[in-house]
Amino acid sequence: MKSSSNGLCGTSPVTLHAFADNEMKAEDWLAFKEHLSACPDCLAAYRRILALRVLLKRNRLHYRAPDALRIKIWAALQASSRPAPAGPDSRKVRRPIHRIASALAASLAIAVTLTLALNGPALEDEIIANYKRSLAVSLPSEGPSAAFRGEKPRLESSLDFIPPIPDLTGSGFTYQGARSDRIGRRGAAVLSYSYESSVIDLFIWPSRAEPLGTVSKQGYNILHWTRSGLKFCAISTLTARELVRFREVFVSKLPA
Amino acid sequence: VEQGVPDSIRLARFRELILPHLDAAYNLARYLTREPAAADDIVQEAFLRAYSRFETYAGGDARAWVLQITRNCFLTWAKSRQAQRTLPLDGRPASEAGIAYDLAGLPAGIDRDTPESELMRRADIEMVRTLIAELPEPFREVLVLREFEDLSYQQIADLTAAPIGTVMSRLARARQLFAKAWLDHAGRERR
Repeated sequence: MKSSSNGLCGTSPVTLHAFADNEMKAEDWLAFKEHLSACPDCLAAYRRILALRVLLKRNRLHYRAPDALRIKIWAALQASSRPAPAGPDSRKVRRPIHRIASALAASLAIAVTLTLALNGPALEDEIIANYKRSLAVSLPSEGPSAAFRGEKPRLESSLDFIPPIPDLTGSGFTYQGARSDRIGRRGAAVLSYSYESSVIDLFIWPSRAEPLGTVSKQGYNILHWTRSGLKFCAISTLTARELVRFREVFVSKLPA
Repeated sequence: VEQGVPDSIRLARFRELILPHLDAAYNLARYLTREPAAADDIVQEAFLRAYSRFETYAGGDARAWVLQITRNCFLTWAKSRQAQRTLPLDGRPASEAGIAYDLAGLPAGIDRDTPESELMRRADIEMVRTLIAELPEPFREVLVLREFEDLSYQQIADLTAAPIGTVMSRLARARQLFAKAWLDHAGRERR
């Protein structure tokens, strides 16, 4: 193989990698750094390592777990941690975890309503706090019609993106108004909808993070999804299933 | 479960501590198996196993802990896979045996071929993934653990049950093999 770093000065490539990886012992580090500035061979070899690391790091070579797998695993974990449902089977000994897993995998449609968001528990706490605050003060009283006239421009002026506000008339979900807020240190739009006697707050902000599915926390259900570079986070006291329906309605009314 | 912690709390703790590392586990399993379906099975097995022995997680780096379990599940899978076949997985030696350790530096040109500002096209990303996948197993593994998971040399040594010196030479060799493969590929492209 052409071009070795250890030709003339005797430095082992392993040393160079350790230096590049910041894995060198403190006492050797300074001495090697000085050597590097004096040895063109080593410097060139070191630069190649850095270039390679850039190549590997700058590009999205990391595989992301498929959503179906997340859903499946979360459903299996939930199943294995709650007591077996009452019924003819309930007196049997604990079934092997695999059996439960595959049984649940079969009912993926149900699993979707159980699902999960894999990151951002802190974010969810923030959203819950925000939701509770907004319930404590009275709801915007402008009603649906004001939404499409006054609210949107005002909202946009305080945000650096344009949230979609589709008209959900006739779906049972009634638009109550919008506000802007801060979530995770950035501006978010919050659309408020009512459904029967419940309130749904939909938080929207630009993000490519992709936790998906619903989560139950502190008695609230939160549903995450992403679309066109925006992150959507719906929170309500509604059931997970109703939230999923809300999302379906919401998405179906967006311009294609 | 046996420890008297309510299931709901146990599950919530698992969700906050361990589940965020699902992508890391999947990434490792995917590169090790080179088969999406097998990676799915291994990761699912690993997380159920991790949950059933969550009590043994003694703090520390949760990602390293779950990667260790994932790796064990992979080894079990590879063993059963090998038992079914007479040939090694891919016709390549499964260990370093037979792989020359000429610990040279990286080939010249790798620095010229990777302008820092330039992100790769989708097709190139798939190509690089393939090049990594084609590295022999111990090199592939150490490269993924270091470059994608940012584990320390010591963590990799613990996880792979190898002396730290072995980890270091494997990593140097892995980068060298990869750099050569990348340059060969880039050369073919240009021709």
